[in-house]
Amino acid sequence: MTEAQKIEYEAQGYLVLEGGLDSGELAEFRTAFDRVSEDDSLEDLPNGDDRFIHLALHPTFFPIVHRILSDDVQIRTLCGRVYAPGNEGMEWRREVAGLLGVAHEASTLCVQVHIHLDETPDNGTCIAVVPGSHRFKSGLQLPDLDSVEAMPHAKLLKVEAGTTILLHGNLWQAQTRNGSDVTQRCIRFEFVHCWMRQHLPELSPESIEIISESHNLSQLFGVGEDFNEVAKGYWFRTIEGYPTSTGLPERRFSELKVAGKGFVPNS
Amino acid sequence: MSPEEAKAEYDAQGYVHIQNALEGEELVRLQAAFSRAEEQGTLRDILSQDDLFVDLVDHPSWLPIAQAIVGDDLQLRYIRGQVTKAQSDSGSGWHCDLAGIKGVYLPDSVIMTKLFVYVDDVPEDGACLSFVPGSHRYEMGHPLPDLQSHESMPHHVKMNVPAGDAVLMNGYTWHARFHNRSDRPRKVIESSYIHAWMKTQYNFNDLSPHVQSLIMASHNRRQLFGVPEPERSDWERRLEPVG
Repeated sequence: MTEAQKIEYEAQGYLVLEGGLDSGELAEFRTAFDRVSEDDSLEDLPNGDDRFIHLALHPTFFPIVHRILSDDVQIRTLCGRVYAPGNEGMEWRREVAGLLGVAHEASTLCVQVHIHLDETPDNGTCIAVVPGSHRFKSGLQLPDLDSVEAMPHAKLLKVEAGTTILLHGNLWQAQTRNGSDVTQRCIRFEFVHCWMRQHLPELSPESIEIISESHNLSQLFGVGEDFNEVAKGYWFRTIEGYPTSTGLPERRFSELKVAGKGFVPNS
Repeated sequence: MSPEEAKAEYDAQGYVHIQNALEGEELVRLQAAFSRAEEQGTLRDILSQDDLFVDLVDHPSWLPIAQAIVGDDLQLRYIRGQVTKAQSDSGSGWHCDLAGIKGVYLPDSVIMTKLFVYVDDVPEDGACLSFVPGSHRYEMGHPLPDLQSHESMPHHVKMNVPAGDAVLMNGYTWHARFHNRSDRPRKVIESSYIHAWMKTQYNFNDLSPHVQSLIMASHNRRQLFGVPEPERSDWERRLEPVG
């Protein structure tokens, strides 16, 4: 993650990564996506093709997601989305609104990753955001609007095929109606922290075998003896092979973890 | 103390002391059940030892308070019994349970709250749980002072409490368990409450059929014990009003 990307993300709550998938990758993912879609299995993407499993660590976005969420990053969801002509889109919302107890305006619990397999055609559906709204306090009500486009200061994120969009989970976001005659396809990840619940489909033995070959995939998909659903010491999971990250916004942590026992050195 | 009053106290101080949470026959039964579990060495697996321990999880003396503090998406992380030996260097040192958590702005959040239910009286020198009031509002990274003893922490308060009292503590509050210099062990039931969208330490399928049946008896228990509810996102689970 470059310094400019960090500043942009912290200020706006989203990042647009153009050219994330090259033309060869794009063709491969379109083919795999269509095959899974024909089987009506877009909610079961990890079991549909192992390309989707390995995509979680794609160098275009994963190092950024890791930097934002920290070493304890994990996947909550991985699914496909098809926006056919006439798709009504989605109204304005905060994805993390249901997570109580957290000062979301100063925290980062979730990063959504949208990988677009098609460009946005004229009148096509696209993600809409209110830049900077990830810093809005939870009590701030969404305005009662007649349309997605009526939101003040909304920005519509029209993209080229292969573009990846990262959204802070607290960002005000919506999806516009697909008024074009073109179907648009998107792969969507939600990344969270290891201590949060996951919402993945039951993984097939083949998927588990593939995932288990990699420490980082094991952590991301919550697979393996050390990564089962039951949380013991789950605040200390660590992705390997990347510079250590404590997440964004950057925080300080007390150097002393324990003090005052009196008979052993402080640690 | 109403849940609202308790929440106000907790929000200001980082903990709240609930007096007489258990009394009379109920307290006697708890003491007997705790002793049995202690003798059998099963304090860490306390749910399976007596139905009374399952009942503690949603006990009316503290559940409404925990709900008011944590939120309607309340969930149990664990419950277990704990004995701190008499005359032992068993203090924990001053620390903050949530020091390792990433992604959350802790001074304005309540991610985890601990409940301590005292089985026996805790004397002044009996491994008291202690707090630095208001420390749950310290800016992240506020340095823990380099102290030589528990007692030298400025402004601390000690939970020198009678049997049957309970204490709820924010996981971000600076706290310590002092060494036990008394001639009696400290006996306590410790629970951790979190949110339904967080992972628990329990896998429902690992619990005994009897405990499972107790949990399945109500919507609120199913949520508290993290029993999956396929038709509802765990980001949207909520306790139902009781009574």
